[in-house]
Amino acid sequence: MRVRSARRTVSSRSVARSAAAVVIAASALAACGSEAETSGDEFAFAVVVEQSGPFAAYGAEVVAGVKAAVKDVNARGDLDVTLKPKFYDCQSDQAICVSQVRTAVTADKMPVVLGPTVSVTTLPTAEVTQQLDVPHLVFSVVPQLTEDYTNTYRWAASNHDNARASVDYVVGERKAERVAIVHANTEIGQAAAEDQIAALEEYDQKAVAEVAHDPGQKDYTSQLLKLKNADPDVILSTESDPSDVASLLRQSKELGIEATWVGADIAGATKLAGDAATGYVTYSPWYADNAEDENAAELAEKLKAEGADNPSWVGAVTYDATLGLAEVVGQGNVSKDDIAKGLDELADFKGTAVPSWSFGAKDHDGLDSPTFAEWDGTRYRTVWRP
Amino acid sequence: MSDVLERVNATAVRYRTGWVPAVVAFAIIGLPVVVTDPAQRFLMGYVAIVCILSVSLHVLMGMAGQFSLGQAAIFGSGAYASAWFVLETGASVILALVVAAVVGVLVGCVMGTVAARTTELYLALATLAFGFVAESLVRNSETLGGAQGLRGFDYHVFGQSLLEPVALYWCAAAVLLLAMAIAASVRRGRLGRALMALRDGPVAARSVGIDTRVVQLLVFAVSGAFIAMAGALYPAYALTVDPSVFSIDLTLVVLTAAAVAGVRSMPSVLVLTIAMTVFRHQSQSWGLASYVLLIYGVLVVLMLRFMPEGIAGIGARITRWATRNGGDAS
Repeated sequence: MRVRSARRTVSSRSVARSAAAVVIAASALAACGSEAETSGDEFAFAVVVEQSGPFAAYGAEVVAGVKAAVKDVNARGDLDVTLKPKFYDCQSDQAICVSQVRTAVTADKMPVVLGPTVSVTTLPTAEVTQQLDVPHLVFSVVPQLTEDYTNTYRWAASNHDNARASVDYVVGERKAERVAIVHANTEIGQAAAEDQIAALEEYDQKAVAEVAHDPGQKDYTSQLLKLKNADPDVILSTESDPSDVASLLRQSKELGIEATWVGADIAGATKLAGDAATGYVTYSPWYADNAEDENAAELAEKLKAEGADNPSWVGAVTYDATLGLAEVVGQGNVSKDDIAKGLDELADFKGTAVPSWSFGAKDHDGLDSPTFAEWDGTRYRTVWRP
Repeated sequence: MSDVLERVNATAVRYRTGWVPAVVAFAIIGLPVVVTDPAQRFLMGYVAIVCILSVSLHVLMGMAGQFSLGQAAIFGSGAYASAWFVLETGASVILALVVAAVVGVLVGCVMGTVAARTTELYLALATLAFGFVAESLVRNSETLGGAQGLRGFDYHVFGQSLLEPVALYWCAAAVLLLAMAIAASVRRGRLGRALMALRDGPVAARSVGIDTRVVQLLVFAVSGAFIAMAGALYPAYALTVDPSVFSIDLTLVVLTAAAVAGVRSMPSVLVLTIAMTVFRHQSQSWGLASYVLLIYGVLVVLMLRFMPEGIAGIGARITRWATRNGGDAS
């Protein structure tokens, strides 16, 4: 009896000690508040991006794009207010991204949010901004971002549009008759492949081969042999990882596959692939070294100056998005409702990276189709602009 | 005489610790009053969710000595089970927690079955594989939203939406307290003694009649239920659930807390889990966001090198030192 009583005492002491420990440590949260940082002559906005963690390379692009654009806009001085971005590092972690967006909107009272960049972090943050009714500028290509939410404004072409445009280019423009599709088993890869198959059907064509692989796979021999046996004219790729693109291009060349590869522009892929990338056709809103884009070199330099070592379309469209936001703010729209209204009315906005961005009350995709360019071994050359 | 002394001692202990539950209750209720910002309140809920994971780790590793990396698989299974159940039925989060717990017990039992046939490194690898299998299954399941996952669910309890951060906090705190109470109860019961025997010497445990396979199955089932319930609440915080929920990142954070705190001490593990979760979320304020994982890694290495028993071992060391010195003096 005494033993049971003693055990019970020990047990309740253990729970009590644990609970006390929990409460004391949790109370530290109370001291961790933030303050709004906007004053009358400043317009502060939130940039929630992956500045550290596995997606930090994308985050660096966004940071560079915002900083370069803010520097230009503020130097121009034609706004009544000074733009003041506040950067929130969400560490490439879904839970932290969600938390940072909540902090930005509820504690710091930010009227608009930019970022994050990849779909796995952007989708949950879009849920948050939708519920908090704050306009949200996004760069991820996942179609659901603008299909399922009314507060998001995409500064890129969606996966749907990219996939359709790639088939238009391959079948409509290049007149390819035997098209194969390669994709990773990722959300973007699978969805893009489905879109491409649907678009091919509209041309009364069927993919001669559809090959899936795991992201980050090292040896693609089995997939490439299947492709080789199908003997395609063009291989449509929906890869989003530069090392996957490079491995596929290199191993494809080693196996003697002569079909032209067409895929999304992924920063660093051509450098990793080396000679095997020559002739690779990509689609993207912007190319840093496009010989036929007069703004490209200057914008690339600006992005480099702000920390983007290898500027890609992510930094460039972020630059345009920030200019677009400045345009809306310049019309006197500084509250979240007014900013949303201003973005809804932002039609044929002349960007630096992209010639024209157009939004509408029911169309929150600012760009409908990408530019197609071929890598000649040293730089890109535009081959088709829909 | 000795009975009297024991009764006096027990009364003194009750007197010394009697105020603790009252303070704890006051603080738990008072915390949402002190913290008014919704983002911080959501963070409180998230911290409680991660703490539930820590308690499960304390039971599995601290009490039973079973080194598992399969927490992510059960956490994700619980998250998907609850989100799917709420989407399909519109039921209360309480029912969703029950469903998730059942799923957690089932997955835990499967892991326990594997655990009975493997040891140490192979056990860690086998349990880690569960996460990859589960992620792959979910990614290819249209019912579970495929690679995009599930969204648009409405978590609610007693008519109150969990979109209200205080409601999420209460729910998570209630599950956490339940998990803590069960863990403490297990510790003082026959199962607890069997678990510790399994931890300290499986062969010796078998020699005194403990069926270690059943005990392993039970501990994986119990901790599986806790983990799945934590997972069940996660979608209410993140508002989406996708295959990334099976990522091992969260498991590693909790494992780090356990390694630094000393996994055998529930209070230490909980304090470290709270501190590390809050630190990670607030690290940008101190300019340390880029170094969080580095700091975690260094902490683990230092603790394993200099204090293998973790922070909880400091008290034991002091006690041993005092006893030794006291003994020498006498």
